[in-house]
Amino acid sequence: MRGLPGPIRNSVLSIVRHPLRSFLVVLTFALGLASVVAIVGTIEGGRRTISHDLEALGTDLVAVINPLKLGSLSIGVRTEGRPLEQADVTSIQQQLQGVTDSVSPIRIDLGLSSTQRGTMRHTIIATIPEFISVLRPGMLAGRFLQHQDRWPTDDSDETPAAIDEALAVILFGDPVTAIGQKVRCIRDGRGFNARILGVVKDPLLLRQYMSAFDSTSSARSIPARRLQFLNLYLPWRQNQDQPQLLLVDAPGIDDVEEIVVRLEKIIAREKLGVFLHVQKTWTSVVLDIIDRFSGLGHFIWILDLVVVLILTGTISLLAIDESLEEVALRRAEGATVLEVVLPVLMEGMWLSLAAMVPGILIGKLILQQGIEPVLGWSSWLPPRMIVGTCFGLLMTGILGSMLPALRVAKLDPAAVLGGRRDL
Amino acid sequence: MLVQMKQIRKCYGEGDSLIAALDGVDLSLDQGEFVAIEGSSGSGKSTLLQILGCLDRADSGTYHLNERDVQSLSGSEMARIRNETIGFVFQSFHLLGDRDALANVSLPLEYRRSAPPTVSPTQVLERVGLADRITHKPSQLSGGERQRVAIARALVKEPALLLCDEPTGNLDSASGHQILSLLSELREELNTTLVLVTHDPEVAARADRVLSMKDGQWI
Repeated sequence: MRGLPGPIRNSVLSIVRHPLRSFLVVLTFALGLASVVAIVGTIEGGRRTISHDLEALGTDLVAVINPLKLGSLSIGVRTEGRPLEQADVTSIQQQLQGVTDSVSPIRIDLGLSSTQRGTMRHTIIATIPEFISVLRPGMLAGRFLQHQDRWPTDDSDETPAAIDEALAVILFGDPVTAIGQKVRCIRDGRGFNARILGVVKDPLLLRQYMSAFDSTSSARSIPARRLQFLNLYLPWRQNQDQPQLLLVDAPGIDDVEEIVVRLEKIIAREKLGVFLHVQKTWTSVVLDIIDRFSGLGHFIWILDLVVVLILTGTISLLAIDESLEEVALRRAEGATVLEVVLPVLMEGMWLSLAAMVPGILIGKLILQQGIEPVLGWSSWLPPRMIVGTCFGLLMTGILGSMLPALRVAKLDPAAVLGGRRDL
Repeated sequence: MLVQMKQIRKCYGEGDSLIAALDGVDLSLDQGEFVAIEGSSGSGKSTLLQILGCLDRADSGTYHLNERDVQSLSGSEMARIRNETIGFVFQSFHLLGDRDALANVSLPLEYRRSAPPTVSPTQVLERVGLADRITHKPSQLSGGERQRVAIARALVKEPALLLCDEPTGNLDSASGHQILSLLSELREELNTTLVLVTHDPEVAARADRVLSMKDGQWI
């Protein structure tokens, strides 16, 4: 300790000589940092999860939708004209050949499926094999529908089908054992048997958090099931099925604009009355909203540090009153203003540094034990945010010492030592 | 001439409440001289001591210490003079309660910018008769012993000017006599100029010269 420069030595000695005061300041800093970590971790984790989920839905998809509403959510602005028909699908497929991965017509029906485990109401999607391009690698167990998979001519024969993982869990228990199994279905008032060829994994991977979502959703009167993908995929019946939706899969996100321009021209030329839904645009709008929410979060954590600043500043201000006589004596014995001010600022700096590791650890504990199980998403602390928050705390520590330092700087040693202490 | 003050004026307050604590004071001190300043409370003697000790500045007038114009010095230059040239002994001792006698005496050396003094804090403590109290904290010392520590703290700097503000004011009669004797001895040994502020005529009588002050002026 003797080898250290005076201001450093005196600031450390002041901490050591006032253990309770130092502990309280460190605790205030640590709890403040912990709450900042919890706020930032929750917001950034939620932002990342939602971004991931939106991207998992496919930002390179464009949907041409026949006039309909999906639930209560209207999509886009409808163009004036006639509805989309099978002939339009073939025409669009030909016109976009080579610039898309796939152009898949889709028919969506509500259906009912039964196995020995029970009966489940769900959506049935009829589409073509090219729809597989929408599925990301690793999302399929078994296989998807292929061109040889067709509706049987005999009603007693089995229809080849693929199934969403969440629906497979409900109907078969273990999705792995679903492949090859038979399921009795009803669509459009007509019963048929389906044989499962493949299981499509949940693109949002929500199922691992489903129990948390169930409880959270129930509490907020949101049907949890809407967060699941519960589809049975069946072969498209040429000349029978009418497209409710045309799903265009662009090769990449940068190709979306060109495809949209081409589609708009086709829609205008053919006078189609449809909604054109561009997933990339919708995703960016949602992410923009989330970014605004993130900004609000940053405001909250800055406010949090201001509260810590006020608290520690008050503690330091009260504490410096006890030390004014010592400061005056040091000034009388030859200390310059800087030599008595620096230890005060440094003390705040050391205490905030000491609070950083415990603050981050407490914050992570709050995230892991308190927030993640309730919200159902993983928290995330970006390294730049950790560095920024720690820097913010360091500044808070120094700023919190500014008032006491100012008091020390303006101290009149003659007044204190002469007993004229009117401070 | 160690100290040369001319027409020193120092006022407190402003407007109608302006009070002249010092009103045109002249003072000259030779090296090794023992001067007592007496006066009633509020006469300005403590203010004079603070200006002499470079703890405060005069509003007007000139003050030369060792032929340096103190009035023109910066704050850090005044701090350096306090550290190297001036020793203080206060009525209330002003010892750091959580540090032992040795640490208290060593305090001025923390701010020493020039060559260290020729005597160590331990030697000074031995000289003031506290060889066996070096590791004692102020609360473990008597009033007289505390003032001895304060004197040792002032002397460890080997000051040319030793300023004592009623050093016996908080002591019993016997301890007060011992402290005054010690100060006299040290002044002769070190050839230090000793300025002692008191309102006790008996204490003032020990000085080479006694100056009396009233309403900020010599009488």
